[in-house]
Amino acid sequence: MAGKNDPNHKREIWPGTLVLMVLKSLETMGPQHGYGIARRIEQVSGQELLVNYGTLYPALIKLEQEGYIQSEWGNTENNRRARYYRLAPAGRKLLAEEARAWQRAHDLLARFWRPQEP
Amino acid sequence: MNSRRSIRRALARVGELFYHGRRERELAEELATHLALAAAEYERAGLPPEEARRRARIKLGGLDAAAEACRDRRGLRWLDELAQDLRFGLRQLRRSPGFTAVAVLTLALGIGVNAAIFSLLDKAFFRPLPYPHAARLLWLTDENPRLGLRRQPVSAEEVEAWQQGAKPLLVGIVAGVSPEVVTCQFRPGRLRYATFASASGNLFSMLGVVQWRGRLLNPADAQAHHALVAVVSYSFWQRQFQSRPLSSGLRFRVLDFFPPEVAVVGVLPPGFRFGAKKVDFWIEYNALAAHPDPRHNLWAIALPRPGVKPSRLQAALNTMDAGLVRSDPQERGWQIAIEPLQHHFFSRISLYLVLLFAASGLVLLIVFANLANLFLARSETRRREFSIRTALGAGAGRLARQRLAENFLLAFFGIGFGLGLAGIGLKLLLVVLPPSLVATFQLLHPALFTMPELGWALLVTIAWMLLFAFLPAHRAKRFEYWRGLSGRVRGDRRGFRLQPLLMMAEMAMALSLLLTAGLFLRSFHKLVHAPLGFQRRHLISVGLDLQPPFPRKYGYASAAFHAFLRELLPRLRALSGVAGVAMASNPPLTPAAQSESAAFARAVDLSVVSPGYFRMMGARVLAGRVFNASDTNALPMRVVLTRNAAKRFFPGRNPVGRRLRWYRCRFTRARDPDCLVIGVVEDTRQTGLANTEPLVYESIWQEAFVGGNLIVRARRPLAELLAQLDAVMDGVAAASGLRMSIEPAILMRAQIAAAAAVPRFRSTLLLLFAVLALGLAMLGIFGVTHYFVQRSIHDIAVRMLLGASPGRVMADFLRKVLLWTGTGALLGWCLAWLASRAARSLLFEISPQDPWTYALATLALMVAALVAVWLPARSAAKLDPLTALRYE
Repeated sequence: MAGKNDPNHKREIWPGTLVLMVLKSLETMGPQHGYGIARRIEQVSGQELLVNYGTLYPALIKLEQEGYIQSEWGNTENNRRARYYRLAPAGRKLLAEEARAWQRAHDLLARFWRPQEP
Repeated sequence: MNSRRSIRRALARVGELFYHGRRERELAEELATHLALAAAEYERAGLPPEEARRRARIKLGGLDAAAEACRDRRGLRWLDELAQDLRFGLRQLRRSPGFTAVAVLTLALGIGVNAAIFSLLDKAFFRPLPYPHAARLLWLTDENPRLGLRRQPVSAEEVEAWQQGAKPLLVGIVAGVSPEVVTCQFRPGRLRYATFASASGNLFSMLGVVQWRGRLLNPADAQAHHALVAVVSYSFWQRQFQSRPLSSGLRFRVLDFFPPEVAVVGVLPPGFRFGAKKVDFWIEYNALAAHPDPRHNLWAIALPRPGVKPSRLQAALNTMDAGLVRSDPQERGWQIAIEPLQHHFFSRISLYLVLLFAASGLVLLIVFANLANLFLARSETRRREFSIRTALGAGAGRLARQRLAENFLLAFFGIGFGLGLAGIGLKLLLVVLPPSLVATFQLLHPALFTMPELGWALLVTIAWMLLFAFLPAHRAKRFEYWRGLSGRVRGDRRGFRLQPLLMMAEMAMALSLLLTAGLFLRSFHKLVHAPLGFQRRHLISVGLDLQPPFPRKYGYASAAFHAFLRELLPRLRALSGVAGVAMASNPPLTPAAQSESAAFARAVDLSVVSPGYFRMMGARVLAGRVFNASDTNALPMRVVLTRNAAKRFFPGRNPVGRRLRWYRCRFTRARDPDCLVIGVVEDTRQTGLANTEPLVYESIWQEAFVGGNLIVRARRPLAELLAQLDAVMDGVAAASGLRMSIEPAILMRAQIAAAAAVPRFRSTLLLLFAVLALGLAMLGIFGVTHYFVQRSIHDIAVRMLLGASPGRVMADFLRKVLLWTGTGALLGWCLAWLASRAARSLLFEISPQDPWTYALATLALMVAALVAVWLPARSAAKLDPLTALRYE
């Protein structure tokens, strides 16, 4: 089962990072519905990332199946029924680990980048 | 951690299958919410609602694609698709209920019949008997190929010689006497019949039976001079002794024994069976037998040591047997035959079971052929549907899988119903089984279905799936879908090549079944109408035995009985309702004569009769004379032979006036082994309607005799006569001071019916199969022709417009069908010829190539085919060509 769907698989950066963004958004915002997550990612990225639901929802489904997030139905402020996702303890742990890993990777790469600067 | 997550996800994915509908709805709602929220935001930015929704949709991408991506992520795709295919298949089947019903029902019928017979076959051949060494146990018999005698009983002398001589090869040999019915007394005044058997004491230890209570028999029980000891069956213990503990000293009396007291020393485990007959109690063989006993009346089983091949044992026993005295010419050519015990137990039904299984296999194949036809026809009519689905992007593989799913569903339902039918059928079989076969069937493993049967059903399903799922699917792949879309479906002619072939095969199979059943029916007809060797009308037989306590000296008892008969016979003859009366120890076709043990008795049997017997029975005298009053005890023993006995003892010579020395019989006369043959009479059907074993008659006045059957030919209504007979017998018995046991009268008519029961059952069951096969084949022909007509409407219409008359059109169809049927019939003849040759031993006085049967069965087939083809052909002939063409 470990393969391209594995969240720790480093080569497939985009799905991996999307998962992280989702988890991070949930950590910051608390329970949120899919649209809210998408908007949050778009806003934080300064509209550089465009999250369409064809990528967002499969990722959510996968995260839920693996037990990192949980979901339940609730109502939006406009009284629309929506499914709210919330970080599960396992997700919190994964987020912390991943954040550290990304930080390390970033620092490492940064060291390669630095000498090339004039 | 990771692998655990993976497993968790896999489980979740599988779990999704069960929530399919809810998840779909939820997903749709979630995506819709997403879209609505996005649109709402655009609206808040000032766009009109319509435009806002459009923008949102552009931004977010295709809804369906997203949903598909989610589905992919969520479930296991192939499992999901399988579930989808199954649901789709179910819908398809529901949409054409007629097709589904026909397919499922015929499949259930075919599989049910086949599974039921397979179940019996499996139990009779492959399920070991319930003894630890069952596979190694061997059944020993004498045989004499020179005389054409097989499976003859052995003698105590032989068994003893084997036991001594073959010690290094054997764990042991057990011998015994076939079960007999005796009269028992459990408390004063209450008499009950019970079945007992005697066997060497080591029988149970060799079979590996463990006693339920008390102990089993052992060879030492024969030495006890005071009382006989018995081991009783569990049900006998329950019934007659209310399961009382053995320590309370269970005893009963057997009036046939002397002395009659029997003590119960052990109880056998529930369900213990040995042989086809239920035995109530067992007694050590040597405790009852005279010693030495030269009679050949024993069965014997041997348990060779591990690794000893049966053939080696057989060779050793034969050498030993040759050492026994075989100087007499009558004794030449005898040898030992060995077969596995299981074969022996089921030898009565095995050949017929194989035949039935073949028949049920043919029925199943016909069902398959029918369904294949149906599928081909359906795949043509569904051409358009498949074309559309191909055009919409369904891959050939997916289409094939969908058809597979459809077939799987059909097979699933078919097998479900089929096994149900088989279960009912097997239960029903036990009800309609002739009584003489019930015991054999009860010996079979009691479970209705065991793993092999279910495995067989599975195998049949797989065969079915492979055959019919891929056949049409393969063709579906081949055709170009755009042709199918172009309105008129007239398809390639190639598609129709297979159907006549299938139909021919159906015809062949149906005909072979019909022929075999026909042969069995003809054989049965011949059997019940074959001359019995005596006049069957108005015959009654009454068992009549001198009751103990009679004097221990046999001779004295016999004299008393003779005196009784001399008194009784004239008195009975004088009754106005009696046309004739005689006494016989072994009259034909009585239950005792028809029993297993009689069939197992020495090939030359004996009947002790009163002098008037032959005239009363209407038996034809072929040479010499029959007994008369002058053949008394003072003279040497006189015998009358049946034609077959004469042939056996004096081949090609006139036996009258010759002396006969005769060992292999029930009685041996130490006094005077030589008998004088005074006459020859016609053969009589003694142990069964098909059996004319050699029979030797002696006169009751020359033979010690304490019981037998009173044979009466009646002249008036029976009820009245029976009362009279009873009154006379009671009167004479009372006057003579003897105690007589008088059994209820049996009608010869009933006995003949009982003798015909097994062959009747055999031919009826086969006929049922044949009718089933013929019906299915007719259905098949009807289906194919109907479909053929539907497809050729265009051609027919054109031909009719060009001047062909309706009669001509119809004749064309009939000719085609006759051609197919005829070809099928030729194949069927070959099949039937093989089958009936294999089953030859079950047929009575009829050649497997009986021309009448062949002609009649073939005619029946042709008629059936014409009937089946009539309706479709008529609809073709009645076609209005213009309407038909316009309709296109």
